[in-house]
Amino acid sequence: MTMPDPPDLPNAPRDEDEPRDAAAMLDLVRSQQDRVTRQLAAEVPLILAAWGIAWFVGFGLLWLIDGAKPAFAIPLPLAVAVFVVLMAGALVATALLGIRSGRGIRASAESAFTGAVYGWSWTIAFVAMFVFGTALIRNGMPADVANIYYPTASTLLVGLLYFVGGGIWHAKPLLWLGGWIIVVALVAPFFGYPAHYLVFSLAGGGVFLVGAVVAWLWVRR
Amino acid sequence: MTELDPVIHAAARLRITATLATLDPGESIAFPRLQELLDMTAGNLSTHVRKLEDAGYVAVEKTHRGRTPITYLALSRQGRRAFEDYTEALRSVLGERP
Repeated sequence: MTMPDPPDLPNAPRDEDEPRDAAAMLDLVRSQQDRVTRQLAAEVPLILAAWGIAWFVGFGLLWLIDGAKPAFAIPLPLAVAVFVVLMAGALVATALLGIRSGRGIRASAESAFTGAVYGWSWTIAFVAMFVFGTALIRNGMPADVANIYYPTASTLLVGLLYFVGGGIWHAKPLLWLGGWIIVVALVAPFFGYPAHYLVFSLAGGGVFLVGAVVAWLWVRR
Repeated sequence: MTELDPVIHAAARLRITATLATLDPGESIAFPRLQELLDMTAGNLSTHVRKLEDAGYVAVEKTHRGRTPITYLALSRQGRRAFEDYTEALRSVLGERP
C-alpha cells in the first residue's frame, strides 16, 4: 500500500495543515491523546496529597493520644478536632478540585448517572457505617472496641469504593489503591489500640502520599 | 482503505479530532476548555472546527449558562467512525497489527 498524495486543502493555513507521513500522524494522535489524558488528570496529585496529609497527620495524632506515652501525649479533644478538620478539609479540596478538573466538560446522561450513583454510594456507606456503630454501642460495644470499629470500618469502605471506582472507570491505579487500603483495613485492627492508628497513618496515609508523588510525576512528564 | 480522509489528514484537525475522541460518546466539551487542551488560538480552532462541522464530524451546540453563551463541541457518530477508520488506515499503512 502506498501513501496517497497530500490532499488539496484550499484556504487552510499551510504550516499546520501540511499532512506529514503516516508514522508522524499516528504519533501525533498518540501524543495528543496522552497529553489530554494527563491534562484532564492535572488535579489528581493534589487530591491524593490532601488525603495523604489528612490520613498521615490525622491518624498520627490519634495515635499520639496514647501511643507514645509516657514520653509524649496529645490531649484527646485536640487530636480528634484536628483529625475531623483535616478529613473535612480533604473532602472539600476533593470537591473543589473535582469541579475544576471537570470544567467545560458536559457529561453524557449515562456518565452523569454513574457519577451520581457512585457519589451517593459514599454517602450511604458512611451514614450506614455510623448508624451501625451507634447500634453496636447501644448493644454494649465498649469504647475501646469502638476505637477499633470506626476507623477500620471507614477504611474498609474507602478501599472498597476506590476498588469499585477502578472498575467503573477502568482505572487500574485506583484498583491498586483500593486493594491496598482494603488490606490496611484488614491488618490494622489486629495491632490493637492505639497501634492500629499508627498503621492507618503510615500504611494508609503513606500510600496516598506515594500515589500523589507518582501521579505528579506522570502528570508532569 | 486506499485513501486517507482529507478532512482529518491535517495536523491541526487531527489533533482536534483525537482530543474529542478521548471523551466518551455523549460527552461534550466547551470551546474554551478544548482550546486550552489544544493550546490553539480561538481563531485557528474556529476555522478548523468549522471544517470538521461542515464534514459532519463535529457537532456544535450553542447554549447559554445564565447569560453567558457557551459552545459545546463533540464528535458526531460519523466523526468518531472517521477517526477510527483513519487511525486504522495509518496502522495498516505502517504494518501495525490493530
